[in-house]
Amino acid sequence: MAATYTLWSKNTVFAANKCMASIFNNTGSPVVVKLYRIYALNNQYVAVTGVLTNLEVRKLTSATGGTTITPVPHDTLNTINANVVCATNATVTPTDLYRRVLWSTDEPTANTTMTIDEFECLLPFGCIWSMGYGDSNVEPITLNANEGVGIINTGAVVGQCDLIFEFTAA
Amino acid sequence: MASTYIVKAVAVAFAGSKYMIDVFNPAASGKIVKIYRIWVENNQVGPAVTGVTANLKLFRTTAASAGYTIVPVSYDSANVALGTITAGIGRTITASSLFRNYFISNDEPTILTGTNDEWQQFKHITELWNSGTRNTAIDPIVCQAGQGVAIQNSVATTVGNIDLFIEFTVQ
Repeated sequence: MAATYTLWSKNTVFAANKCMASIFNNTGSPVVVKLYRIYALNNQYVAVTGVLTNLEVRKLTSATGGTTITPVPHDTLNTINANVVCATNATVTPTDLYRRVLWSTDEPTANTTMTIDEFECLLPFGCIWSMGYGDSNVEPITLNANEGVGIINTGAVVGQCDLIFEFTAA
Repeated sequence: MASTYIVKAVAVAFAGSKYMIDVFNPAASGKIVKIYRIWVENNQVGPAVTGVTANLKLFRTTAASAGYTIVPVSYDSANVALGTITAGIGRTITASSLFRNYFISNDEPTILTGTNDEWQQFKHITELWNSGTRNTAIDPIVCQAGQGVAIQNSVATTVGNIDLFIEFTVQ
């Protein structure tokens, strides 16, 4: 098995054209990053007047700044290479679109409704990218040196969500 | 692993008998295309439309020309080149075998209701085709040279739009 990590960007506040979460494999990196799964979960408690927006999964050709996040290794014997940088609100250069999803930024309720924001709490529905998972014929998104992936919010400026990347770096 | 690509058609407007998305492997391409997964997602943020019910049909194709060309995106920048393999929206298609028929609403989702159009944006529900995935004993849709796949809207509606994604490998 390859060294596997989970990046969790908690309580990520929506802002227009913000890179909500990103992973970037810097130039000169000796490792290749393979992105297996991405989750977006609506875990917010505070009431907001939500709106619809789109989250875009895009390839990145650069990513700098923002708030750095340390990914968690699935095996504590593994240590992430320093060239692999994870962040929220990084300044990025997005290019190719892999996927976009519709997202409600409204807050889920405990027992009164079952609309989009409540379904966004359920783990199977929150998995917005699972390429390659379960079939070794299909590639995950592969990040060679100087390549990255980010989730870009295109519209909403209210509410927050959690973003999770599961990836290998070896 | 085989070189893997995704072709995506975003905010494709409905029209009667329109081929909403397709991938085609031309004769003499020297390559084999394998279709692993297809998603159809109602990602409309607005404006509000009065949606109707439509049917999307997944066909094998034997010709594709004209229309709007889409460039597939590689999962690995080191992948083999696509060569003469093409993808598009609204192309002129020669359809043959029908693989699947899929009911869809082209109404726009809202944050206040949980009806058909709202459910159509969750990834595990919108996976129209996933042959071969998670079981390597099952063939995906294999497009030999001179073959492809296309999704046609078979209802005369011009309301709303939709996102479509086709994941395939090239060998």
